[in-house]
Amino acid sequence: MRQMHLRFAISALLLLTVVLGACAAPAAPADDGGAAMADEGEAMEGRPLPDDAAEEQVIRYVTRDLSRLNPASESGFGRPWISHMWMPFFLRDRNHDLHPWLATDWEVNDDNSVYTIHINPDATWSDGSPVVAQEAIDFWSWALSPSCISCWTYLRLGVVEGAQAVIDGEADTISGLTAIDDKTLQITLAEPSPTFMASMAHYNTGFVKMEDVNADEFAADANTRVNGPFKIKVWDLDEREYEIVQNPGWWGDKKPYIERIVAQWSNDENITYIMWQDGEADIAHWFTNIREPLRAESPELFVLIPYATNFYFALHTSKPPLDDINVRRALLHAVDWDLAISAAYEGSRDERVMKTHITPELPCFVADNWPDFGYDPELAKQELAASKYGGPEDLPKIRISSGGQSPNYLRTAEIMAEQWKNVLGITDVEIRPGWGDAWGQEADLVNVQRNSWGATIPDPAAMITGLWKYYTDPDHVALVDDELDAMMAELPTLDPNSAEYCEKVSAAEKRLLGHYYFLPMIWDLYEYVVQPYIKNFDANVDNNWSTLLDIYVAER
Amino acid sequence: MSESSETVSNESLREELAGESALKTRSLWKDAVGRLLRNRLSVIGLVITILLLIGALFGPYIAPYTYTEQDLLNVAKMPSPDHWLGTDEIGRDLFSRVLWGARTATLVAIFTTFISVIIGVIIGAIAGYGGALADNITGRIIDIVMSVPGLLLAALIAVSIKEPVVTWAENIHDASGFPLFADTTWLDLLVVFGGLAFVSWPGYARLIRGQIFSLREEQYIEAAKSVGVSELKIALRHLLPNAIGPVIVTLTFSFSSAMVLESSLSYLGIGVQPPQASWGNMIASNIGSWSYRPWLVAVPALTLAIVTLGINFLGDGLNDALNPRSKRSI
Amino acid sequence: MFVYTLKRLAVAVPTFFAVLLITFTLTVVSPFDPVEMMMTQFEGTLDTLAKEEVIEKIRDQYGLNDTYWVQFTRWIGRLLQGDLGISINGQRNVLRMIVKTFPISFQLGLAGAVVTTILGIPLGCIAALKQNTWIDYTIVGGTLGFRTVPVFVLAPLLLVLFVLVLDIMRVPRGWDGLFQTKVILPVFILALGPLPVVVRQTRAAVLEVFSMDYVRTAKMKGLEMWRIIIRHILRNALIPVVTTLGFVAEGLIVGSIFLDSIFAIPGFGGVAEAGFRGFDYPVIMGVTMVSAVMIILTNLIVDLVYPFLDPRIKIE
Repeated sequence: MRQMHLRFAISALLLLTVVLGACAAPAAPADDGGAAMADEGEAMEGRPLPDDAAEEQVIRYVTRDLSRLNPASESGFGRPWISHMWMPFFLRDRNHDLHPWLATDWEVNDDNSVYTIHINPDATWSDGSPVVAQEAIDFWSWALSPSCISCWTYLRLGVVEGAQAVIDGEADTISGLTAIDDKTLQITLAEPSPTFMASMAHYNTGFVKMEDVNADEFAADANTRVNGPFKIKVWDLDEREYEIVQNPGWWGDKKPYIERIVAQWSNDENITYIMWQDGEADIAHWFTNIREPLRAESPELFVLIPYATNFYFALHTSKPPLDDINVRRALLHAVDWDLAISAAYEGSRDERVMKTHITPELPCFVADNWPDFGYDPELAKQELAASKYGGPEDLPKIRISSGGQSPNYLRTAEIMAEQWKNVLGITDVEIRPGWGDAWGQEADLVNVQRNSWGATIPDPAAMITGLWKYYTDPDHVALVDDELDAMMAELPTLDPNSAEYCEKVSAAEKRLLGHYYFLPMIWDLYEYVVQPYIKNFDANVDNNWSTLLDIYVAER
Repeated sequence: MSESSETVSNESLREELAGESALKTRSLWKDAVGRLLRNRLSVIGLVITILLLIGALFGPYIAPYTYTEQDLLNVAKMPSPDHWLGTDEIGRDLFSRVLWGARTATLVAIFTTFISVIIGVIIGAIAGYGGALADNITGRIIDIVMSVPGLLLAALIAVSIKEPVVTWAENIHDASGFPLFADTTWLDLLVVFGGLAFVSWPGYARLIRGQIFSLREEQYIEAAKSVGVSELKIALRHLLPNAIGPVIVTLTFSFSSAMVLESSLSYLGIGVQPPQASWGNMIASNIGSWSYRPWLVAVPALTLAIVTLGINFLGDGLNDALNPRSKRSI
Repeated sequence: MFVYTLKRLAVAVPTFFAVLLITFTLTVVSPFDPVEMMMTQFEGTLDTLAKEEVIEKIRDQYGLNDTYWVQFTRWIGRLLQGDLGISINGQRNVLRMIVKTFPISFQLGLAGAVVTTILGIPLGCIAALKQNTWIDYTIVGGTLGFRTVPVFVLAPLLLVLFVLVLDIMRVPRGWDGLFQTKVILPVFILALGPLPVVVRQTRAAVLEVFSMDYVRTAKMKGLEMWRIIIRHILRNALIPVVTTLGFVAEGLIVGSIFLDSIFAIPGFGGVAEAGFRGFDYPVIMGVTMVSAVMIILTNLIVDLVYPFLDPRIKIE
């Protein structure tokens, strides 16, 4: 018996030694996969590279997350290149101008209700078959239907006649879509929409051949046919391997320089930054903490994504103590926003303290549309005293959710709380940073919640009316203002080119700001950090790398 | 064996056994202190632990600033005579916050450890003494708790029951005006670290159960039993003094691991909430920019490391000291 | 022993379902909406108004508007058919996620346990032999020292040292199998977790054996020290090894949460973290299921192996 124990023990140790030995054994060089792949692009008839181009045209991209590729469900991290795989009809540039992409041109009838799109006659799928109008109809009809899981195309095509029936599951195809012939698509809208052509350039309106759509939660893989210049080599969310390569059969005249894009997932900013410093990343997205020090060192690395976004803390006007506008005004006026934002954003956003909803990038921007905005401690004290709570003593608790752990949000919240304490004597304030982006919000208890609002450039009216619709919802902030209702109702009917348009948008914005339902942070910027040897890089408002065909890697 | 002891069993033997044990316990403690002080590491650990406790008790009075006081014109400054360890990212005095953090860390550790020890000892004792059925039931309860990753279960519990608990406290406050419930910040700690405690008690329960079972096998316990010393008396006289050593040792270890766990929770955003100062949230909020402002991470991280190391050294020393069998005798 | 094993397995079934029920309840009853969680990642891309519509639509698609019991019975029903559902965040097949990631974490966890054992037992022996000397202090203090630095601080520090300062490696990312150089750093960090425990246990075991009469006798008989160690201490030293088996299970999940994220390892910890973070209940349930099975099995194995190592412990 005793010997058996010993034998057991010895064999166990032996096994461990073997495993460890194997583990420590010199392994094959990790990068052999890369060398083998570099050949792949050469098979393709290339476009002559610029003189300063590097031998290997590979982009190593690092981002915070990556998800399945499917034009109907895309909304996050595949956007840089998805429009170069399943091409929408048009592509926007940095200035939001449309350029021919899968389609060559388009016409619209006089009352802006019927659009005719001409698909490029050369357009083919990667298997050589032609791209035809009916394929768009088929894919869109599926993408709008309830069976397409987590799909957003209906946000773009909801205005098409018959779209609602498909969204509700009552029809199988969108009746407003007609294939006049293989290369001509006619689209009839239920009502005119000023942003419809922007939708035709939106990545969510790219389409996949329906034969390739194999599941309701469809995720494209290497076998999925594309009609753009790039295709998937591997896109494995389980193995976390993401790589796209040139589509050798692309039909376009202008072949891309870039042979492949290797995407890497990094949720840890420190690691991303170490990779950046070590030269293992060519383009990085989502630097937050390190962003400003890095910018101070080398501002030329930053490329702006032309979004128009507000960051602010929304005040829930139906929850005490924010149900009293005097409290809201007091909270606003007690904080020195310029100083607070300068500290919270380390001086990087001094010029972008949010003073209105409409950002400087949007038409109808009026810098001082919020006349009462500003730091005024004396006024703040009077306002708090004038409120129904009479002062800080009986003020119910203020619970701030930073809605995310970004140190910028947290710092802003902490600075606000400290200044309320110093100026107004309010001490009963709680801050929840939240795990990820929403933990610890305590749903119904929070009365100050960080929020953001994005705008589709160039449509300030949609931004303002959207805000109004959201903040009148009793579940959100529950604003009430009949007159403003009427003003907001009028905005969508206006012609954006008319003289009164901006006047009325500004008037509505001014009245909206007068409700004091938020505390400002910034008009934020989204950026890529791009190594200087990546040339011609640019992005559009949809966060596509809109110049991808011209991007190349120069010699370092 | 039991038969033969049956024949010699009498009152005097029983007394003798009980008396010997008491004597053994006294000399054990005296020996233990001696052994503890002989180990240089544990002395260092003891000193660090005492310093921590001093910091926790008196830190706020020593600190030159409060933990929230901001100087927005002097953010992230290097150490200077005004700010001995510099200022943090929103101009708060780092030295003061580290001192306040000592209080937070101690509270977190005591709270978590205390709750889990109590639950663990009770459940462990039930398992050890309650017979096969009780052992089985508690064993399955332990399995259930241990089957979900601890950190995640704690997080899930914390966020799931937080809102109901806070609402409940506010209702009590509304109904009774009981001032304790006016400020719900402490409920935060209660819920989050209650969650932590809830997932860490099974360790103690197993420890106690194991102690009970293994000591039962010891000859002197069997002897005592065979001469008719009652179970309760055996528990108090023999098992308790013997089990307390391992419990104290585990306690010190979990005391320090609670502090490290707090920093992990803070990193995930559900630990001690700002503007409260905790070493964990100080590390978490500056780890992203440490390459530019290393001291903002280094100071709290080093403090945390030194303190947890110190407590662990003390625990090791106690382990050697209280476990009489491991005393060096060759 | 066979009967004992059967008995244990029989009670494991209700335990298992109790775990599932509790987790499901905590997840579903919590005030957080997985769909809203998912939407937050699209910040700045969808305007908030559209978000509201989208959230309702997706809630319907996942049946999240149904009552608790409908959801639970539906989930159990699917489980019995071998279907773990689709994750809400990312829309991926949960079973596939687990099947893909689990073996990776398992290998990592096992490698971590092996490294821990191989480092820990000799270190523990040396510490015991040199009790209360600076060698003892260095070993005990050093292994502990690594443990007291949170992983999310330690890992970047080591990376800066190896990648930027010494420049002997690139940032290890991803997973190409166990026998790759890029695995060394994660495995090392994973092994540091339980290392102090193993060192301590070994140290204590050795010290205990030293005090035993038969060792003294052996020593008096003039046997060499290493023989004593191998003969008499080996078996005792294996107890901490078995204990680390438990760490394989726990370390798999908790230990790898930070590591998966730092080193972009497509492991089980990353799946768990993302699931819990997003209140993604199909994922949480899948993760819980697997970890419950793992832990129940590990406990059983540990209990079965102990009596071989320590004759004082008996299986009832």
